[in-house]
Amino acid sequence: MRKPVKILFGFFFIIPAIIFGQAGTIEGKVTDETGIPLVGVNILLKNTNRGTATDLQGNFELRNIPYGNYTLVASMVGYKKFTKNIGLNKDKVSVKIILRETTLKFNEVVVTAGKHRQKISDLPVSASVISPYFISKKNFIKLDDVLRYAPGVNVTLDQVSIRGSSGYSRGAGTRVLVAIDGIPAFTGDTGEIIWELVPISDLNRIEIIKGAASSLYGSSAIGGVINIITKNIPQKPVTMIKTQVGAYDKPFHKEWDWSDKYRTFNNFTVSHSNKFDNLGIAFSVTRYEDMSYRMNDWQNRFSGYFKSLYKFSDSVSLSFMATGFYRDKATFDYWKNSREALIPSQNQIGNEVHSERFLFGSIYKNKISQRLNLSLKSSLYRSFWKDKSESRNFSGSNQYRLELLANYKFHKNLFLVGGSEITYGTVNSNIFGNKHSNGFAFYAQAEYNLTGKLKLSGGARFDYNKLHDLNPEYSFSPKIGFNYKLESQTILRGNLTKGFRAPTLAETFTSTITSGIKVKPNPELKSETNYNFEIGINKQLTENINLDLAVFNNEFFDMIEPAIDITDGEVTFNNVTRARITGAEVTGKFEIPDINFTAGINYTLLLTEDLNKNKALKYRPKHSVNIQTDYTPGGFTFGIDFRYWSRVEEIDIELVDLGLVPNGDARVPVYVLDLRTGYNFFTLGLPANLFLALNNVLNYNYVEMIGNISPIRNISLNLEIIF
Amino acid sequence: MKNLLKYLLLAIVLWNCDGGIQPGLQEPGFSGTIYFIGEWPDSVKRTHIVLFEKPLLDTTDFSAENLKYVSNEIPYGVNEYKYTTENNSLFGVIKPGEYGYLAVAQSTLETISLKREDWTIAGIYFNPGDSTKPGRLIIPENTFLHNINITCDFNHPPVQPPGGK
Repeated sequence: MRKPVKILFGFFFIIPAIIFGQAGTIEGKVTDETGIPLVGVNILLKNTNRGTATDLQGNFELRNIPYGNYTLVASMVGYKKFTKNIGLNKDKVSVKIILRETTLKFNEVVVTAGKHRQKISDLPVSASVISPYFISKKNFIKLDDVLRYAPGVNVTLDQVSIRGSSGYSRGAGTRVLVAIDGIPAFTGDTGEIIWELVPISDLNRIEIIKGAASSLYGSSAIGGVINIITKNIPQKPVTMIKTQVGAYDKPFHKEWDWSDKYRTFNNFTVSHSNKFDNLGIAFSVTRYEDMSYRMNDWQNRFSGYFKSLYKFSDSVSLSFMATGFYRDKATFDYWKNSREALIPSQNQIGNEVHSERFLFGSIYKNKISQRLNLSLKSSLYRSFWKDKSESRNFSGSNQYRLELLANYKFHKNLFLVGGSEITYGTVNSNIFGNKHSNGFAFYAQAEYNLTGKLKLSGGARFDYNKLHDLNPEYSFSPKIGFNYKLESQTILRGNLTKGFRAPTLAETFTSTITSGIKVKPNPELKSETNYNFEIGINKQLTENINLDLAVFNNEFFDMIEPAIDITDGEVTFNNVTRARITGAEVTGKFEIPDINFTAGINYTLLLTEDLNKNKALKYRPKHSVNIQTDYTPGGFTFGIDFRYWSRVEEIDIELVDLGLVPNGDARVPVYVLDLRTGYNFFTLGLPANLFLALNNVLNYNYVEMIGNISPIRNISLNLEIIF
Repeated sequence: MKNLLKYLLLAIVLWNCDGGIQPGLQEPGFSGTIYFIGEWPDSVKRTHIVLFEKPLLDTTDFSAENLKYVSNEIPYGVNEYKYTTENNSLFGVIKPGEYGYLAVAQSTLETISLKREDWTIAGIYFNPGDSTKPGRLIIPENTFLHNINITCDFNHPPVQPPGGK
């Protein structure tokens, strides 16, 4: 509406209505989908100049509004716009507004991949973000289950792979760096990711950076980074009680029905957060029990999470985070055979592992000036496990880290990131020995806005790593990248980087005998490296359709893998593989706002090759497809999720040939269809969400790892009460 | 859009009619009991059931090529040990066919060795009614044999194949 028309509208309608007393109040409360009040949401009556913003409790009030019909619009960056027609014909009208998160608008999503906050549309690499509401809706309990639905990510049992970086190595080392609030979270002995450590009820978002990121993050980021961002502490107290119950269906084949009762699982979480002046705290405790659909696969877990944030001033703060768990879990390594696929072999029955894992971290932030920000991060990852095998294996490790990070805005077009990191680790184990490790690193990266449309970035990291008394290793990991906005809705990006992964203490020093087969140490083991190239394009085709395409190439050198030494028949970790992974990834997202429908589809092509053996790499599906649809009429939510992997070409065939995994070569393409529904009771003014998820609806039997049938059809109900 | 979803769901259902991985047929194999008579020698560090394709008539027959199956370890000192080749394999997969030598072998080494001199045969499988020569084991397709029993008498060890200490 043009300005003179607006003035006339005000003159003829609003002013007389106020004079004659026919005016009322529109008030309301705005929350996100989990019931957390949203602060600073813009509230506007369309075609008028009346508007306001929500306060600390998410409340708003528009007074002296003339009686009449209005369109109320609520908007906030990162959320879908909300509109509602309101007829004001009494003193007060109340509305409850739930804003739903959006990942559709590419230029609005913010990530911290470059060790500072950036729009995802400004990055030179592919990245994606998963929202916590998706986790609630799907009733996920563990983060690796969530990642199976992320574009370009594969999970084999509990081992994550971004664009084919990893196969399966029973937890020895990881080629994806997982961090919680920027603090790396892998164990000091095996270097593995323990997903249960992630406080899944306390997440703000999950950022996935694809491709080597060693130039900023060092070892393990050779395949990418998953940065898990925990929730901010809200201004007002929030308590959540979350209870989840579920059950597995009977197996598809009668021959596999080993239990005379339905196998169940349950999860119970209580969390609370509050602010006292400058101090904010949040904590949660979780109890999880799973009988499992397989024999000798049960687990019981107690988890705890604590976060505090103290603001000394507007520019100085100190946060502390602790997360950990105690867990007892039975061990299911491989099936007995394909006729008894949900039962392990006799020698596995009774095997259990007790584990205790804790991650403590603190982050001190100081905004020295408008240009300079400093952060000091320190952490301790304490891990202990012991099993009940004949040899009573155990391992305890402590991994200490200290990182100083500086962000400096040199001028409006030049941004600098620099830092240094010191690590020290100790291990006490009957299979890895009593060992220690240490390392330090320096890194620097510059981002230069060349023309307003073209952003260039470049940087490098130097790493020193020393395992116990072995010779130290040095790694230099440079990178260059660009981001070019071809036009307002089309972004071209490219990245060339070198990555590396230092061998873990477990890969270097393991010495044990299992079933008569000796695993021997290899002090000669050195770092594996890769050169990663990617070019991608993102186009916002229309307001509601976004398309992203990326092609990539990854050249691996000295890949570390377990292998049999032909001179003595003993197993050792070696730098054996020169490998190449080439591929492409297409992601499309679209939305029909009028009916609250969103859909996303992703296709990933992976062409992998072990160049020494002229074979594909193990456990990498050539084709992967992920489809997610969401329909949210009113307070309801309905969703269909589907994922597909082509049959993996290469597996651990030697385990099958040796007879260790009978019928272990049985594998099929993966088709998993999940259905979900739920109701958001906040629309009725009740502080609750209810979700029902039916996973693997078709009860389809497949393996990610040989001899391990993935979860059969299961149903779960999740009730969240938030007040 | 609705039609597209309908066809997509239909296609998925059709793809999945077979339920994915199927239970396999009966794997060939055998089971039985090993009986131990007398005192176990102190020097024994590991005991296994071993299956060779060809009879051990020459030192070269004790080879990785001829060795088709090695069971997991039999615990030291037991009087009786029930076994099955299902999920009890340290090495090898039982395939249908004819085998010339099934025995219980013992070693004084902690680790597995393929040298003939590192092993002593504690008991041999004989065909019923003929204990004069090692028995032949015939395993047909999709067949699992039972009562393949072996007696190990430490007081009266069997004839050792060529190449021992």
